[in-house]
Amino acid sequence: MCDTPHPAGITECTQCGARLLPLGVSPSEVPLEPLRPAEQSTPSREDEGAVVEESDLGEGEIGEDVGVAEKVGDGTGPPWLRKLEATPVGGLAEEAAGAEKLERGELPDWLELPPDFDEMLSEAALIADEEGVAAAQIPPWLEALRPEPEEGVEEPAQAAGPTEAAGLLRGIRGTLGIEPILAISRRSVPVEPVAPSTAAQERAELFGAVVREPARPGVMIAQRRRVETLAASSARWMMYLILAAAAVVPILLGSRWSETNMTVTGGTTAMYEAIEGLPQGAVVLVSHDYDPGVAGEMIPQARVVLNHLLERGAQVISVSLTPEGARLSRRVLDEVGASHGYAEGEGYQTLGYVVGVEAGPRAVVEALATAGWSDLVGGAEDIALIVEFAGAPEYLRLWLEQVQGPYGIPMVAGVSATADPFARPYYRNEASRQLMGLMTGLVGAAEYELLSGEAGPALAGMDSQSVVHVAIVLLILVGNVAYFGGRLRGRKSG
Amino acid sequence: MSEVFAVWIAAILTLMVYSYLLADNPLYRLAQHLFVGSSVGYAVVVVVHNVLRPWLFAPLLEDATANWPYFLPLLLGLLLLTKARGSSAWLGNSSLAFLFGVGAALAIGGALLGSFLPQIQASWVSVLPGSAGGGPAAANNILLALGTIGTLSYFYFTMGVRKGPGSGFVRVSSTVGRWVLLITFGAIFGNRVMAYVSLLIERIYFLLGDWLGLVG
Repeated sequence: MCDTPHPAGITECTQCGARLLPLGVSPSEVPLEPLRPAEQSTPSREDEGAVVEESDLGEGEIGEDVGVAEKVGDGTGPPWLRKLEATPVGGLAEEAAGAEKLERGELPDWLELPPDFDEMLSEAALIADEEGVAAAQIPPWLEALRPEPEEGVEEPAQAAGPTEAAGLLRGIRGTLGIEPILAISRRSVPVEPVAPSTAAQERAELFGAVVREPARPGVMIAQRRRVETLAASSARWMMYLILAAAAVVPILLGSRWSETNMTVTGGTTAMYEAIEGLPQGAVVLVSHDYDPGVAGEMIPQARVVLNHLLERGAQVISVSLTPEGARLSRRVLDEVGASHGYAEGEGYQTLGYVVGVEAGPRAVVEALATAGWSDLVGGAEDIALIVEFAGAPEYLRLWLEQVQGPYGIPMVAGVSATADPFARPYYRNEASRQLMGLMTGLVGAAEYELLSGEAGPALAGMDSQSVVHVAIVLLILVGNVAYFGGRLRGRKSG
Repeated sequence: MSEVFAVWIAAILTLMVYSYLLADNPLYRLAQHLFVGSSVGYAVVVVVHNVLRPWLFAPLLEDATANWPYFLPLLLGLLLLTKARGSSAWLGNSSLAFLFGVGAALAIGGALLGSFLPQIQASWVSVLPGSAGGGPAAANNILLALGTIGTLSYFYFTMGVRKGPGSGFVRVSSTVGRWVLLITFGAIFGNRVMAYVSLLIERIYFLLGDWLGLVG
């Protein structure tokens, strides 16, 4: 297409001869006109340029092709070509058209090669050799399309090795020979002997023993496993029963052995003395920072200490850094207060839950003085003592770091047995006296009951606790003896 | 009547929890879920009644003009709720920044004054019997010093690995520190066992006394 504009009514381009269609008509709607012979033989200049430039072809490329076509046409070509020309191809086609229907797999006669085809090919090859026909040359435009070899990538070398002489691969060079790998024997190379380590030798012997062990039927193995499982389960249940009996029997018997034989530790004594030394009407801030998980230890502590405080005539302000602690402490306070004839607001005051983060304890002390939270104190200096019941060491640390340190208020603590190792350094700090007293777990509560002369649930549970501890120690000893005895037997038999 | 009902409920729940000794079973799971659910529900009620209502809503309802600073914590609290949706979570960043900033400042200041400096002071002890207050006190102080130095050496990972000045001392003292740590962990474990035994005894007292009436 030359894009030359034409007036309406012209059906053929004056420049390139292309058909022209009116606007709005698709080419498919117009039947194609047969090309005229003149158009076939004389393409326009633009078409020549659009297809292949003559200069792009190899030397004599077009000339030779045209020459061959002319020679074939006028019967002056090479003899092999003239022989092919003489083959009645057209006649064969006419025969094929009129042939009868063929059976499956049968070729028509016209498709069959002539009987002397091989002879014709060999003659053609000989003639081509005699005449010195040059090998086909690649034109420059085709050569330009050849991909450039990448740097660093080597061209594959020509296949080396002998040419296959027989079989399907006959005539192909460089095929992979399998014979050297399979058929040629190799010479063995002597290897230095390796001395295995003792551990490796033991493992090897163990492996050998396992391999040499005669196979047992699956039923026997399953039976043995059942017996082992039953034995392990029985041992576990025996331990449960021993511990349960150790805990229950002293309670049922009403044993009071600990009341007369228990020694009180220094931390509990110091705590008792700190409360005992409070003046009448002293304001004491008590924080119940525990949850039901440790209530079994903390409630007896809180009960005996609150009892002592109210006995001494102290004014108790109760708070809690845990939501559950507020509920649990309220019940204990009501019980103890009622036993001393107090109602809330008379001898004790409950402020409830305070958020247990760093700001919580500090806010309690500051709010006590400013917000009229309690009429008992006008400032931090009015608080004579802080009593902290901590189920976890974090709560104790909050009070020590946010209140005791900055305000210098004396402090004692009752902690769960789990929190004791973390609390003890503060009690043992003789330089700063961060904790004036420390009692630990149910044992601490029992010690405090012993000191205050009021036997309670903590002291009643001490006999059970002692018997259970003895049972645990015995079970550990028996377990270790059985374990090491088994190892010794294994060594002797092995 | 309600007290008896509560005791029966508590006793049944206790037995359901102890049924875990047999194996993991639906009764144990039920008790566990009841505990978690009731704890969370109770905590929400306590927060609303003990914190939000007296410390935030009451002042605002009483006199919002005079108590206008209370709107700031209310706004910060409401912004925290936007953390529930990913697209609006960035709105709650300022609230978290405030919480972490104040918390970190208080924690660092408190730790310095309440733990770090007093504990350093407490470990500065005399190992001489004359000034320590006797032979046992001096021996105790020597143990304290050895344990402290050994434990610090154990966490001093960059010395003692290669040969050099003091590497032998660090190796020996870190070995001492390792044993001190092991003894401490043993003490913590022992105390934990003691705590669990106490809890077991408390439950047995409850079952035998409050529930069955066998113990007075």
